[in-house]
Amino acid sequence: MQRDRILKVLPMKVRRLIDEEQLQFDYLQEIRLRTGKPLLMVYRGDELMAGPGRGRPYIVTKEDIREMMGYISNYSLYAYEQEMKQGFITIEGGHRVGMTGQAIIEDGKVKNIKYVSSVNLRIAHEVLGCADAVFPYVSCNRQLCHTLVISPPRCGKTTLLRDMIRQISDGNAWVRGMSVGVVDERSEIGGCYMGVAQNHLGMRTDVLDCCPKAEGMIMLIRSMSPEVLAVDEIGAAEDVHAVEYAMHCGCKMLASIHGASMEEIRKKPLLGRLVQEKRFERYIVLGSHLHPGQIEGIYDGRGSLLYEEQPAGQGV
Amino acid sequence: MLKIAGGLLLIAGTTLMGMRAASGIQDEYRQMQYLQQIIYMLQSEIRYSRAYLGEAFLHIKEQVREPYAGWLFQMSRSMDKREGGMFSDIWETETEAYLSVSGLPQEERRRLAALGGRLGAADMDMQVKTLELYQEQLAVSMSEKREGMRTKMRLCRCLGVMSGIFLTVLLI
Repeated sequence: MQRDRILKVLPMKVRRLIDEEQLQFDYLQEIRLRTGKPLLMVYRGDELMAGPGRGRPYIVTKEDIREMMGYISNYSLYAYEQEMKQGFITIEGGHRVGMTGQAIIEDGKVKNIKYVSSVNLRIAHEVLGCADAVFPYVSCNRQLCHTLVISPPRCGKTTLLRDMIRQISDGNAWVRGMSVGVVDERSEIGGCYMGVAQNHLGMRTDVLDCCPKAEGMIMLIRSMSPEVLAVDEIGAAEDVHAVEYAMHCGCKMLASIHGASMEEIRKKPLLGRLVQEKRFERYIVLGSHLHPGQIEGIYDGRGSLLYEEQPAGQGV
Repeated sequence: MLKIAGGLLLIAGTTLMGMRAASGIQDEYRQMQYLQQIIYMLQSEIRYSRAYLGEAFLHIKEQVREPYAGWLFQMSRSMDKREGGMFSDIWETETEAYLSVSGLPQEERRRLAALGGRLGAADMDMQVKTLELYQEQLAVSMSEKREGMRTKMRLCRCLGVMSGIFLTVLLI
Protein backbone atom coordinates (compact mmCIF):
# COMPACT_ATOMS: atom_id res chain seq x y z
CA MET A 1 0.00 0.00 0.00
CA GLN A 2 2.82 2.40 0.98
CA ARG A 3 4.61 1.45 -2.24
CA ASP A 4 1.55 2.14 -4.37
CA ARG A 5 0.90 5.47 -2.70
CA ILE A 6 4.44 6.61 -3.41
CA LEU A 7 4.61 5.31 -6.97
CA LYS A 8 1.22 6.82 -7.79
CA VAL A 9 2.47 10.39 -7.46
CA LEU A 10 5.61 9.90 -9.56
CA PRO A 11 5.77 10.66 -13.29
CA MET A 12 5.23 7.54 -15.42
CA LYS A 13 8.87 7.31 -16.59
CA VAL A 14 10.25 7.70 -13.08
CA ARG A 15 7.65 5.28 -11.75
CA ARG A 16 8.86 2.59 -14.17
CA LEU A 17 12.52 3.19 -13.27
CA ILE A 18 11.94 3.00 -9.53
CA ASP A 19 9.74 -0.04 -9.98
CA GLU A 20 12.58 -1.77 -11.84
CA GLU A 21 15.05 -0.99 -9.03
CA GLN A 22 13.07 -3.39 -6.79
CA LEU A 23 13.61 -1.34 -3.65
CA GLN A 24 12.23 -2.07 -0.23
CA PHE A 25 10.05 0.97 0.32
CA ASP A 26 10.45 0.72 4.10
CA TYR A 27 14.02 1.90 3.64
CA LEU A 28 13.35 4.54 1.01
CA GLN A 29 13.68 7.98 2.58
CA GLU A 30 13.62 10.51 -0.26
CA ILE A 31 13.14 10.83 -4.00
CA ARG A 32 14.52 14.03 -5.51
CA LEU A 33 13.64 15.34 -8.95
CA ARG A 34 15.38 18.42 -10.31
CA THR A 35 14.79 19.68 -13.85
CA GLY A 36 17.76 18.80 -16.07
CA LYS A 37 19.50 16.90 -13.26
CA PRO A 38 19.78 13.19 -12.46
CA LEU A 39 17.04 11.46 -10.51
CA LEU A 40 18.29 10.85 -6.96
CA MET A 41 17.02 8.78 -4.08
CA VAL A 42 18.03 8.39 -0.47
CA TYR A 43 17.85 4.72 0.38
CA ARG A 44 18.99 3.25 3.71
CA GLY A 45 20.76 6.55 4.38
CA ASP A 46 22.78 6.44 1.14
CA GLU A 47 22.29 8.38 -2.06
CA LEU A 48 21.22 6.30 -5.03
CA MET A 49 21.13 7.39 -8.66
CA ALA A 50 18.37 5.69 -10.63
CA GLY A 51 18.80 5.31 -14.37
CA PRO A 52 17.88 3.28 -17.40
CA GLY A 53 20.97 1.08 -16.97
CA ARG A 54 24.72 0.89 -17.73
CA GLY A 55 25.48 3.54 -15.14
CA ARG A 56 23.55 6.20 -17.04
CA PRO A 57 21.45 8.36 -14.74
CA TYR A 58 17.91 9.35 -15.69
CA ILE A 59 17.71 13.07 -16.38
CA VAL A 60 14.53 14.64 -15.06
CA THR A 61 12.61 16.76 -17.58
CA LYS A 62 10.25 19.72 -17.22
CA GLU A 63 7.38 17.47 -18.32
CA ASP A 64 8.18 15.03 -15.49
CA ILE A 65 7.88 17.82 -12.94
CA ARG A 66 4.68 19.10 -14.53
CA GLU A 67 3.19 15.61 -14.58
CA MET A 68 4.15 15.07 -10.94
CA MET A 69 2.65 18.40 -9.88
CA GLY A 70 -0.61 17.27 -11.49
CA TYR A 71 -0.55 14.00 -9.58
CA ILE A 72 0.34 15.39 -6.17
CA SER A 73 -2.29 18.11 -6.40
CA ASN A 74 -4.95 15.78 -7.83
CA TYR A 75 -4.89 18.06 -10.89
CA SER A 76 -6.18 20.85 -8.65
CA LEU A 77 -3.37 23.16 -7.61
CA TYR A 78 -5.87 25.78 -6.40
CA ALA A 79 -6.92 23.39 -3.59
CA TYR A 80 -3.34 23.41 -2.28
CA GLU A 81 -2.77 27.17 -2.38
CA GLN A 82 -2.17 27.36 1.38
CA GLU A 83 0.24 24.42 1.37
CA MET A 84 2.11 25.77 -1.67
CA LYS A 85 2.77 28.97 0.27
CA GLN A 86 4.74 26.89 2.76
CA GLY A 87 6.61 25.15 -0.04
CA PHE A 88 5.24 21.66 0.34
CA ILE A 89 2.16 19.51 -0.02
CA THR A 90 1.36 16.52 2.18
CA ILE A 91 -0.03 13.62 0.22
CA GLU A 92 -2.03 10.54 1.18
CA GLY A 93 -0.03 8.51 3.68
CA GLY A 94 1.53 11.59 5.27
CA HIS A 95 4.43 11.82 2.79
CA ARG A 96 5.69 15.33 2.23
CA VAL A 97 6.39 16.74 -1.22
CA GLY A 98 8.63 19.79 -0.97
CA MET A 99 9.13 22.02 -3.99
CA THR A 100 11.12 24.99 -5.17
CA GLY A 101 10.74 27.32 -8.11
CA GLN A 102 10.00 31.00 -8.41
CA ALA A 103 8.13 32.50 -5.49
CA ILE A 104 5.19 34.80 -6.23
CA ILE A 105 5.19 37.61 -3.70
CA GLU A 106 2.15 39.67 -2.71
CA ASP A 107 2.24 42.31 0.04
CA GLY A 108 5.71 41.11 0.97
CA LYS A 109 4.57 37.53 1.59
CA VAL A 110 4.91 34.39 -0.49
CA LYS A 111 1.60 33.84 -2.28
CA ASN A 112 2.53 30.81 -4.32
CA ILE A 113 5.32 29.11 -6.25
CA LYS A 114 5.51 29.05 -10.03
CA TYR A 115 7.94 27.41 -12.47
CA VAL A 116 8.47 24.53 -10.05
CA SER A 117 11.87 23.08 -10.92
CA SER A 118 12.73 20.81 -7.99
CA VAL A 119 10.57 18.36 -6.11
CA ASN A 120 11.57 16.37 -3.07
CA LEU A 121 9.34 13.51 -1.98
CA ARG A 122 10.06 12.73 1.67
CA ILE A 123 8.64 9.42 2.70
CA ALA A 124 6.95 9.26 6.09
CA HIS A 125 7.72 6.16 8.09
CA GLU A 126 5.55 4.94 10.84
CA VAL A 127 7.75 3.11 13.34
CA LEU A 128 5.43 1.48 15.84
CA GLY A 129 7.10 1.15 19.21
CA CYS A 130 9.86 3.71 18.59
CA ALA A 131 8.69 5.67 21.65
CA ASP A 132 8.88 2.69 24.03
CA ALA A 133 12.20 3.87 25.49
CA VAL A 134 11.01 7.37 26.40
CA PHE A 135 7.86 6.56 28.36
CA PRO A 136 9.55 5.64 31.68
CA TYR A 137 11.05 9.14 31.71
CA VAL A 138 8.14 11.26 30.48
CA SER A 139 5.41 9.86 32.72
CA CYS A 140 4.58 10.30 36.38
CA ASN A 141 1.77 8.51 38.27
CA ARG A 142 0.54 7.11 34.92
CA GLN A 143 0.15 10.68 33.64
CA LEU A 144 2.14 12.30 30.89
CA CYS A 145 4.44 15.19 31.80
CA HIS A 146 4.43 18.35 29.64
CA THR A 147 6.95 17.20 27.04
CA LEU A 148 8.90 18.98 24.30
CA VAL A 149 10.69 16.99 21.61
CA ILE A 150 13.73 18.85 20.27
CA SER A 151 15.23 17.62 17.04
CA PRO A 152 17.06 18.75 13.90
CA PRO A 153 15.32 17.92 10.58
CA ARG A 154 15.37 14.26 9.46
CA CYS A 155 16.02 12.88 12.94
CA GLY A 156 12.62 11.27 13.48
CA LYS A 157 10.85 13.99 15.43
CA THR A 158 7.45 13.46 13.83
CA THR A 159 7.83 9.68 13.89
CA LEU A 160 8.52 9.75 17.64
CA LEU A 161 5.68 12.18 18.27
CA ARG A 162 3.27 10.00 16.28
CA ASP A 163 4.16 6.87 18.25
CA MET A 164 3.93 8.75 21.54
CA ILE A 165 0.43 9.93 20.59
CA ARG A 166 -0.59 6.38 19.69
CA GLN A 167 0.68 4.94 22.96
CA ILE A 168 -0.79 7.72 25.12
CA SER A 169 -4.14 7.34 23.39
CA ASP A 170 -4.28 3.55 23.71
CA GLY A 171 -2.50 3.50 27.06
CA ASN A 172 0.52 1.40 28.01
CA ALA A 173 2.42 0.26 31.10
CA TRP A 174 3.48 3.83 31.87
CA VAL A 175 0.45 5.97 31.06
CA ARG A 176 -3.26 5.21 31.19
CA GLY A 177 -5.22 5.71 27.98
CA MET A 178 -5.93 9.43 27.63
CA SER A 179 -7.89 11.44 25.10
CA VAL A 180 -5.46 13.18 22.79
CA GLY A 181 -6.15 16.19 20.58
CA VAL A 182 -3.80 16.55 17.63
CA VAL A 183 -3.46 19.74 15.61
CA ASP A 184 -1.95 18.49 12.39
CA GLU A 185 -1.28 21.64 10.40
CA ARG A 186 0.64 19.89 7.64
CA SER A 187 -1.06 16.48 7.79
CA GLU A 188 2.23 14.90 8.76
CA ILE A 189 1.27 13.28 12.02
CA GLY A 190 -1.94 11.59 10.99
CA GLY A 191 -1.35 11.66 7.24
CA CYS A 192 -5.05 12.44 6.93
CA TYR A 193 -6.82 11.75 3.69
CA MET A 194 -10.22 13.41 3.41
CA GLY A 195 -10.17 14.05 7.15
CA VAL A 196 -9.40 10.47 8.21
CA ALA A 197 -5.99 9.66 9.74
CA GLN A 198 -4.06 7.12 7.68
CA ASN A 199 -1.48 6.49 10.39
CA HIS A 200 -2.12 4.76 13.71
CA LEU A 201 -2.86 7.45 16.28
CA GLY A 202 -4.76 5.42 18.84
CA MET A 203 -8.38 5.00 19.77
CA ARG A 204 -8.78 8.15 21.88
CA THR A 205 -7.30 10.58 19.38
CA ASP A 206 -9.08 13.45 17.64
CA VAL A 207 -7.25 15.04 14.73
CA LEU A 208 -7.80 18.57 13.50
CA ASP A 209 -6.27 18.41 10.06
CA CYS A 210 -4.75 21.27 8.03
CA CYS A 211 -5.54 23.82 10.73
CA PRO A 212 -3.10 26.52 11.91
CA LYS A 213 -1.58 25.32 15.19
CA ALA A 214 -2.42 28.23 17.47
CA GLU A 215 -6.04 28.47 16.35
CA GLY A 216 -6.40 24.68 16.26
CA MET A 217 -5.15 24.21 19.83
CA ILE A 218 -7.75 26.62 21.17
CA MET A 219 -10.48 25.08 19.01
CA LEU A 220 -9.63 21.59 20.27
CA ILE A 221 -9.59 22.65 23.92
CA ARG A 222 -13.04 24.20 23.54
CA SER A 223 -14.59 21.52 21.38
CA MET A 224 -13.05 18.19 22.40
CA SER A 225 -11.58 18.86 25.89
CA PRO A 226 -8.52 16.67 25.34
CA GLU A 227 -6.38 15.52 28.26
CA VAL A 228 -3.27 15.72 26.09
CA LEU A 229 -2.71 18.20 23.28
CA ALA A 230 -0.12 17.30 20.64
CA VAL A 231 1.40 19.60 18.01
CA ASP A 232 4.34 19.33 15.67
CA GLU A 233 6.95 22.02 14.95
CA ILE A 234 5.92 24.90 17.17
CA GLY A 235 7.96 28.06 16.83
CA ALA A 236 5.86 31.10 15.96
CA ALA A 237 4.89 33.52 18.73
CA GLU A 238 1.19 32.63 18.49
CA ASP A 239 2.06 28.91 18.82
CA VAL A 240 3.96 29.57 22.05
CA HIS A 241 1.08 31.65 23.44
CA ALA A 242 -1.38 28.87 22.55
CA VAL A 243 0.87 26.31 24.28
CA GLU A 244 0.84 28.45 27.44
CA TYR A 245 -2.95 28.75 27.20
CA ALA A 246 -3.33 24.98 26.83
CA MET A 247 -1.12 24.39 29.88
CA HIS A 248 -3.27 26.78 31.90
CA CYS A 249 -6.37 24.87 30.79
CA GLY A 250 -5.10 21.69 32.40
CA CYS A 251 -4.08 19.91 29.20
CA LYS A 252 -0.83 18.01 29.15
CA MET A 253 1.27 19.36 26.29
CA LEU A 254 3.21 17.21 23.85
CA ALA A 255 5.01 19.32 21.28
CA SER A 256 8.02 19.23 19.01
CA ILE A 257 10.38 21.90 17.79
CA HIS A 258 13.36 22.17 15.45
CA GLY A 259 16.61 22.45 17.35
CA ALA A 260 19.82 20.60 18.09
CA SER A 261 20.17 20.98 21.85
CA MET A 262 18.69 22.34 25.06
CA GLU A 263 21.02 25.34 24.82
CA GLU A 264 19.63 26.27 21.42
CA ILE A 265 16.07 26.18 22.73
CA ARG A 266 17.00 28.28 25.79
CA LYS A 267 18.27 30.98 23.42
CA LYS A 268 14.99 31.22 21.50
CA PRO A 269 13.24 34.42 22.60
CA LEU A 270 9.73 33.21 23.42
CA LEU A 271 10.29 29.52 23.95
CA GLY A 272 13.38 30.28 26.04
CA ARG A 273 11.10 32.01 28.53
CA LEU A 274 8.94 28.88 28.82
CA VAL A 275 12.10 26.84 29.48
CA GLN A 276 13.24 29.30 32.15
CA GLU A 277 9.83 29.20 33.78
CA LYS A 278 10.07 25.37 33.76
CA ARG A 279 6.72 25.06 32.01
CA PHE A 280 7.83 21.91 30.24
CA GLU A 281 8.57 19.05 32.61
CA ARG A 282 10.52 16.92 30.13
CA TYR A 283 12.67 17.53 27.06
CA ILE A 284 13.57 14.82 24.59
CA VAL A 285 16.54 15.73 22.39
CA LEU A 286 16.95 13.68 19.23
CA GLY A 287 19.96 13.29 16.97
CA SER A 288 21.23 11.04 14.21
CA HIS A 289 24.85 10.30 15.17
CA LEU A 290 24.17 6.63 15.90
CA HIS A 291 21.01 6.28 13.82
CA PRO A 292 18.07 8.50 12.83
CA GLY A 293 15.83 8.93 15.85
CA GLN A 294 18.66 8.47 18.35
CA ILE A 295 17.69 9.79 21.78
CA GLU A 296 20.59 12.08 22.66
CA GLY A 297 19.05 12.89 25.97
CA ILE A 298 15.92 13.18 28.07
CA TYR A 299 16.02 16.10 30.49
CA ASP A 300 13.72 17.21 33.27
CA GLY A 301 12.34 20.72 33.70
CA ARG A 302 15.55 21.92 35.37
CA GLY A 303 17.70 20.56 32.57
CA SER A 304 19.09 17.55 34.44
CA LEU A 305 19.87 14.57 32.23
CA LEU A 306 17.59 11.58 32.93
CA TYR A 307 18.47 9.29 30.05
CA GLU A 308 20.98 9.09 27.23
CA GLU A 309 21.10 6.50 24.46
CA GLN A 310 24.45 4.73 24.26
CA PRO A 311 25.94 2.95 21.25
CA ALA A 312 24.88 -0.73 21.16
CA GLY A 313 26.90 -2.84 23.58
CA GLN A 314 27.76 -0.01 25.95
CA GLY A 315 24.49 -0.04 27.89
CA VAL A 316 22.45 2.90 29.13
CA MET B 1 -60.57 3.53 -48.60
CA LEU B 2 -57.14 1.95 -48.37
CA LYS B 3 -55.61 5.05 -49.94
CA ILE B 4 -57.31 7.31 -47.38
CA ALA B 5 -56.13 5.11 -44.50
CA GLY B 6 -52.58 5.06 -45.92
CA GLY B 7 -52.64 8.83 -46.39
CA LEU B 8 -53.82 9.35 -42.82
CA LEU B 9 -51.09 7.05 -41.47
CA LEU B 10 -48.47 8.91 -43.48
CA ILE B 11 -49.65 12.28 -42.16
CA ALA B 12 -49.71 10.92 -38.58
CA GLY B 13 -46.18 9.56 -39.02
CA THR B 14 -44.67 12.78 -40.34
CA THR B 15 -46.55 14.79 -37.70
CA LEU B 16 -44.98 12.61 -35.00
CA MET B 17 -41.56 13.10 -36.58
CA GLY B 18 -42.10 16.84 -36.55
CA MET B 19 -43.18 16.76 -32.92
CA ARG B 20 -40.15 14.68 -32.03
CA ALA B 21 -37.84 17.17 -33.72
CA ALA B 22 -39.58 19.98 -31.79
CA SER B 23 -39.16 18.15 -28.49
CA GLY B 24 -35.46 17.57 -29.39
CA ILE B 25 -35.00 21.33 -29.62
CA GLN B 26 -36.68 21.80 -26.24
CA ASP B 27 -34.57 19.01 -24.75
CA GLU B 28 -31.34 20.70 -25.88
CA TYR B 29 -32.39 23.76 -23.91
CA ARG B 30 -33.26 21.66 -20.84
CA GLN B 31 -29.89 19.90 -21.01
CA MET B 32 -28.13 23.25 -21.11
CA GLN B 33 -30.10 24.30 -18.04
CA TYR B 34 -29.06 21.08 -16.29
CA LEU B 35 -25.42 21.60 -17.23
CA GLN B 36 -25.66 25.10 -15.80
CA GLN B 37 -26.75 23.60 -12.47
CA ILE B 38 -23.83 21.15 -12.51
CA ILE B 39 -21.35 23.95 -13.16
CA TYR B 40 -22.89 25.93 -10.26
CA MET B 41 -22.36 22.89 -8.02
CA LEU B 42 -18.75 22.59 -9.17
CA GLN B 43 -18.20 26.27 -8.53
CA SER B 44 -19.60 25.93 -5.04
CA GLU B 45 -17.47 22.84 -4.25
CA ILE B 46 -14.35 24.69 -5.35
CA ARG B 47 -15.11 28.02 -3.74
CA TYR B 48 -16.50 26.93 -0.38
CA SER B 49 -15.04 23.55 0.45
CA ARG B 50 -11.87 23.92 -1.65
CA ALA B 51 -12.44 20.40 -2.84
CA TYR B 52 -10.04 19.15 -5.47
CA LEU B 53 -11.63 18.32 -8.80
CA GLY B 54 -11.87 14.54 -8.34
CA GLU B 55 -13.47 14.96 -4.93
CA ALA B 56 -15.90 17.59 -6.23
CA PHE B 57 -16.90 15.32 -9.14
CA LEU B 58 -17.65 12.48 -6.72
CA HIS B 59 -19.81 14.73 -4.53
CA ILE B 60 -21.75 16.16 -7.46
CA LYS B 61 -22.17 12.74 -9.03
CA GLU B 62 -24.44 11.75 -6.15
CA GLN B 63 -26.84 14.57 -6.95
CA VAL B 64 -27.15 14.39 -10.73
CA ARG B 65 -28.73 12.01 -13.24
CA GLU B 66 -27.20 10.00 -16.05
CA PRO B 67 -25.24 10.48 -18.25
CA TYR B 68 -23.75 13.30 -16.15
CA ALA B 69 -23.27 11.05 -13.10
CA GLY B 70 -21.31 8.54 -15.21
CA TRP B 71 -19.30 11.32 -16.81
CA LEU B 72 -18.28 12.78 -13.43
CA PHE B 73 -17.56 9.38 -11.91
CA GLN B 74 -15.41 8.28 -14.83
CA MET B 75 -13.41 11.51 -14.76
CA SER B 76 -12.75 11.08 -11.05
CA ARG B 77 -11.65 7.48 -11.64
CA SER B 78 -9.35 8.37 -14.51
CA MET B 79 -7.77 11.14 -12.43
CA ASP B 80 -7.24 8.77 -9.54
CA LYS B 81 -5.46 6.24 -11.76
CA ARG B 82 -2.73 8.78 -12.58
CA GLU B 83 -1.63 6.99 -15.67
CA GLY B 84 -0.13 9.86 -17.58
CA GLY B 85 -1.77 12.62 -19.54
CA MET B 86 -2.94 16.03 -18.54
CA PHE B 87 -6.24 16.80 -16.88
CA SER B 88 -7.46 18.52 -20.04
CA ASP B 89 -7.05 15.24 -21.97
CA ILE B 90 -9.05 13.29 -19.38
CA TRP B 91 -11.81 15.92 -19.36
CA GLU B 92 -11.99 16.09 -23.14
CA THR B 93 -12.02 12.31 -23.64
CA GLU B 94 -14.69 11.64 -21.03
CA THR B 95 -16.83 14.58 -22.17
CA GLU B 96 -16.89 13.18 -25.69
CA ALA B 97 -17.45 9.63 -24.49
CA TYR B 98 -20.29 10.32 -22.06
CA LEU B 99 -22.03 13.49 -23.16
CA SER B 100 -22.38 12.84 -26.89
CA VAL B 101 -25.69 11.12 -26.04
CA SER B 102 -26.77 13.68 -23.45
CA GLY B 103 -28.78 15.83 -25.83
CA LEU B 104 -26.50 18.84 -25.40
CA PRO B 105 -25.99 20.80 -28.64
CA GLN B 106 -22.70 19.93 -30.36
CA GLU B 107 -21.42 23.50 -30.08
CA GLU B 108 -22.01 23.39 -26.31
CA ARG B 109 -20.23 20.04 -26.00
CA ARG B 110 -17.27 21.48 -27.87
CA ARG B 111 -17.12 24.46 -25.53
CA LEU B 112 -17.48 22.23 -22.49
CA ALA B 113 -14.65 19.97 -23.71
CA ALA B 114 -12.40 23.03 -24.03
CA LEU B 115 -13.17 24.09 -20.43
CA GLY B 116 -10.95 21.28 -19.09
CA GLY B 117 -7.84 23.08 -20.31
CA ARG B 118 -8.58 25.96 -17.96
CA LEU B 119 -9.37 23.94 -14.83
CA GLY B 120 -6.91 22.91 -12.12
CA ALA B 121 -4.93 26.19 -12.14
CA ALA B 122 -2.94 27.31 -9.11
CA ASP B 123 -5.03 30.37 -8.38
CA MET B 124 -8.38 29.90 -6.67
CA ASP B 125 -9.75 33.25 -7.93
CA MET B 126 -8.85 32.41 -11.48
CA GLN B 127 -10.47 29.02 -11.10
CA VAL B 128 -13.74 30.50 -9.90
CA LYS B 129 -13.66 33.23 -12.55
CA THR B 130 -13.07 30.65 -15.29
CA LEU B 131 -16.22 28.86 -14.22
CA GLU B 132 -18.11 32.16 -13.98
CA LEU B 133 -17.02 33.04 -17.50
CA TYR B 134 -18.19 29.66 -18.76
CA GLN B 135 -21.51 30.20 -16.99
CA GLU B 136 -21.89 33.57 -18.71
CA GLN B 137 -21.18 32.04 -22.12
CA LEU B 138 -23.64 29.26 -21.38
CA ALA B 139 -26.27 31.79 -20.33
CA VAL B 140 -25.79 33.71 -23.61
CA SER B 141 -26.15 30.48 -25.63
CA MET B 142 -29.26 29.58 -23.67
CA SER B 143 -30.80 32.99 -24.24
CA GLU B 144 -30.09 32.72 -28.00
CA LYS B 145 -31.57 29.25 -28.00
CA ARG B 146 -34.66 30.41 -26.12
CA GLU B 147 -35.27 33.24 -28.58
CA GLY B 148 -35.37 31.02 -31.65
CA MET B 149 -36.77 28.00 -29.86
CA ARG B 150 -40.52 28.73 -30.16
CA THR B 151 -40.32 29.55 -33.87
CA LYS B 152 -38.22 26.45 -34.57
CA MET B 153 -40.55 24.19 -32.60
CA ARG B 154 -43.61 25.56 -34.43
CA LEU B 155 -41.77 25.17 -37.73
CA CYS B 156 -40.91 21.55 -36.97
CA ARG B 157 -44.51 20.72 -36.08
CA CYS B 158 -45.89 22.49 -39.17
CA LEU B 159 -43.31 20.87 -41.43
CA GLY B 160 -44.25 17.47 -40.03
CA VAL B 161 -47.92 17.91 -40.85
CA MET B 162 -47.32 19.67 -44.19
CA SER B 163 -44.78 17.15 -45.45
CA GLY B 164 -47.26 14.37 -44.63
CA ILE B 165 -50.04 16.11 -46.61
CA PHE B 166 -47.63 16.84 -49.46
CA LEU B 167 -46.47 13.21 -49.68
CA THR B 168 -50.07 11.95 -49.49
CA VAL B 169 -51.16 14.25 -52.35
CA LEU B 170 -48.10 13.21 -54.36
CA LEU B 171 -48.73 9.50 -53.86
CA ILE B 172 -52.51 9.61 -54.45
